[in-house]
Amino acid sequence: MTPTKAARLRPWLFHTAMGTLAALWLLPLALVLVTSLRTFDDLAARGLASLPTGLTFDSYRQALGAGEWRAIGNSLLITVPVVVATLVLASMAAYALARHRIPFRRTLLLLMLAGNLLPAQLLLIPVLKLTERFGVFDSRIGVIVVLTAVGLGFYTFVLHGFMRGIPHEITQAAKIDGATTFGVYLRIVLPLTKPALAALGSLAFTWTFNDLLWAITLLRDETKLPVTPAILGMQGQYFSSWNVIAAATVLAAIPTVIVFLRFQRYFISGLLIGSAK
Amino acid sequence: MSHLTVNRRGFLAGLGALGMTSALGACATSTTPAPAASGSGATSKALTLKSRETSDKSRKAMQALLDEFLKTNPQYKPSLNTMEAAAFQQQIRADLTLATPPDVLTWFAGEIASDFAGQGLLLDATSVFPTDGYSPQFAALSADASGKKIFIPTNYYWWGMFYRTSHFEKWGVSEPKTWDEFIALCKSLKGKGVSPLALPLADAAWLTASWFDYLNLRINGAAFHRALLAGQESYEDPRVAKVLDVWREALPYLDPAGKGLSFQEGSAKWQQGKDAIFLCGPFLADAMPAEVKADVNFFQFPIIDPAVPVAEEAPLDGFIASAHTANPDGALAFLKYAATPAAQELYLKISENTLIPANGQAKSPHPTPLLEKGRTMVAAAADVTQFFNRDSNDDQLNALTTALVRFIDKPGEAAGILKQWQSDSAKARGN
Repeated sequence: MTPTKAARLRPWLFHTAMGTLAALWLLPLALVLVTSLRTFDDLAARGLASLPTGLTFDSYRQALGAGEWRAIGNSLLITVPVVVATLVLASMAAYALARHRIPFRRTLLLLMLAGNLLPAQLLLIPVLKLTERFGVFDSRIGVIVVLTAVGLGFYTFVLHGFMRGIPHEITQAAKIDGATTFGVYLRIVLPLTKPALAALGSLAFTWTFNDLLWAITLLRDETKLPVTPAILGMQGQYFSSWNVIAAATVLAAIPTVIVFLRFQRYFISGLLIGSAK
Repeated sequence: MSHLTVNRRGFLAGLGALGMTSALGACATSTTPAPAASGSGATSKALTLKSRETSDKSRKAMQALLDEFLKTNPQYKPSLNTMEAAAFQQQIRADLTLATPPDVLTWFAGEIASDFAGQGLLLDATSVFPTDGYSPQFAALSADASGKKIFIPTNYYWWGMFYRTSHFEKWGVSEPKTWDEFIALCKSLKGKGVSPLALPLADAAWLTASWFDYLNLRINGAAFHRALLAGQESYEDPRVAKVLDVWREALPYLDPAGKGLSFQEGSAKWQQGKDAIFLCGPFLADAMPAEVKADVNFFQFPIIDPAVPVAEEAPLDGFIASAHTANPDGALAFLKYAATPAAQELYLKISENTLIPANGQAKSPHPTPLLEKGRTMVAAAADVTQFFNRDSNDDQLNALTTALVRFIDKPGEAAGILKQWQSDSAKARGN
C-alpha cells in the first residue's frame, strides 16, 4: 500500500514546493509593481513593507515626464544595431572558423574567448581614450561599436559550436550544386542556425539593453543616455523617489519582456545547443 | 594541428593582418587632429554646465541660472547636462582630461579640488573671484596651493544633531549642551523605549565619518584634525584612541538595526520617531513633507572639552571650470555670475534646498528659524572644516569606514583597529 500512497503524494509535494519557489521568485517583482503605484509620502512615512494607503499612476506620469520615453528610444537606437551587427558578424566569423581550414583558427577562437574573460572595468579607460581619438566619444555610434566588439567573442564561440554540428554532407551538396562560399553561408548555414541566432539575439538584446557601465563611460550628453543611466539619474544624492524609480524600472523592462516572450520558443530550444553531441 | 599547416597562404594572411593593424594605426593618427582642432579652437560659444544635482527642483534651478546668465551674455550657448552624483564623481577625472571637456562643473571645496588644480586641470578663476562677499575662510578654501582661485563657492550647509520638536516635547526632553548631558539624554530616551541615535550604515557607512570628525574636533581641535587627515599625525596617536574611548560611551545608544538600514530607510525611521536623534546635515529633511520640515530642529554637537575652540563642519559647494575648456571666456563669465548674490539667491529660491548662500551679501530666499540657527552656529565657530572625505579624499574615507564599522561591532578592539587604520591610511597615501 505504501508505494502507491507515496506515488500519489509525490505530485502534491512537487507542486507545493514549486509553487512556493515560484511565489518567492515573483515576490520582488510584485513588490516593485506595488511600490510603483504608491505615493512617495506614503512610502516615506510608513515604509516599503507597509500596506499601501492608496494606489495611483502618478509615478508613471512623473517617470515619463522626466524624459523616459527619450531614454528608452535611445536604448533601442543603440540595442537594435548592436544585436543585428553582432549576429551578422558573429555568424560569419563562426561559419568561417567552423567550416574552413583557416590557419590559427583554434588560436583565434581561444583568443576571442580569452578576451571575454577580461573584466570590462580593465578596458574602460583605454577604450574611452580610443573612442576620443577616433572622434566617436559621446556618440551613439561609439557605444554601438564598442558594445558590438565586446560581445562578439562570446557569440562567435557559441555559434561556432553550433555550426560544427551541421553535417558536412549538406554544405558539400550545396557546393556541388554550384553554391559559392557566401551562398552556402546565406542559404544553408544561416537558416539552419536560426534557433541559435534567435536565442543569442534575445540574450544580446537583454544584455545590451541593460548595459550601464559602457553607457556611462562613453556617453556624456544627457539627451543621448539610454534608459539604465537615465533611471540612475532619478536617484537623488541622499533621497530617491522609490515609487518613481520603480515605475521607471517597470517601463524599462517592457521592451526586454516583449523580445523575450516573442523569442522564448527559440530560447528554450537554443539552450539545448550542443547538448545532443 | 593548424599551426603546422602554415604555408604561403598563412604567411600572406599574417601579412594582411599586419597591414590591417598598421592601416588602423594610420587611421587613428590621421583622425586625431580633427576633434582636437574643433575642441580647442577657442572660438567656441557653447558652454556646457555639468551638474550632479539630480532632484527635479535643483535641475530647474540650474537651468534658471543658465537662462538668467544668457540674458546678460547672449553671445554664449549654455546647456545643462545632469549626471547622477555617484556616476558624476566616477566620471569627473576622465571628464577633466577630455579633449572636449564640460566647461563648468559642480564640485565641492577641499582636497580633491586642490588635487585637480595641482594637476593643472582647473581654470584659474582669480580674475572673476569677488574681492568682497566671501569670508576669508571661504576665500582660502577656494584657492589652490599657490593661492590661485580655482573654485567659486555658491552655498554651504552644516551638520548637527537633528531631532523633531514635537517628538522631544512628547518625550519631555530638551537639547543637551555638553557630552555628559547628551549621554544622560540618550539614557533617558532609552528608558522611555525610544532608540536614541540613528546611524544607518547599509549604503551610507560614510556617516561614521561625521561622528569621528566631530568627536575629534571637540576633543583634539581643528588643527590636530587637519594634521591627522593630511598624514602628519598617526591614527595610533593616544589622542585618536581618546576619540574612540569617548565614542564608546555613546555606542550602546545607537539603533542596533542601523547596520542593515539604507540611509533612506534610516531617515524614514527617524521621521516616524522610532529613532530620536540623527547626526546629519539639513538635507536629511529635504524630501520630507512640509509639516515634517516645519517640525525639524537640531542642536549643536555637544561640547566635550570646553578648553578646545569650537569648530563646525560646513561643507561648501560650488563650481569649477576645466582648464581645457574650448570656451574659457564663457566659463569665466559664468563663474563670475555664479559668485553674485543674485545668482545664489535665484538658485536657492527655485531649488528650495535647506542651504545657506556662500556669498555673505546674499539672503536666504526661504528664511526659516532652522536655517538661521545653522547660519548663526557656523558664523560663531572658531574654525570650519568641510567633511572627512572633502578634507582628505575618498581612499582615506574608505580606510575610515573600514575601521569605524569594525569598531562599532567590536568596541573592545580599539588598539588593533587603530593600527590597521594607520596602515590602511598610509597605503592609500602611497607610502
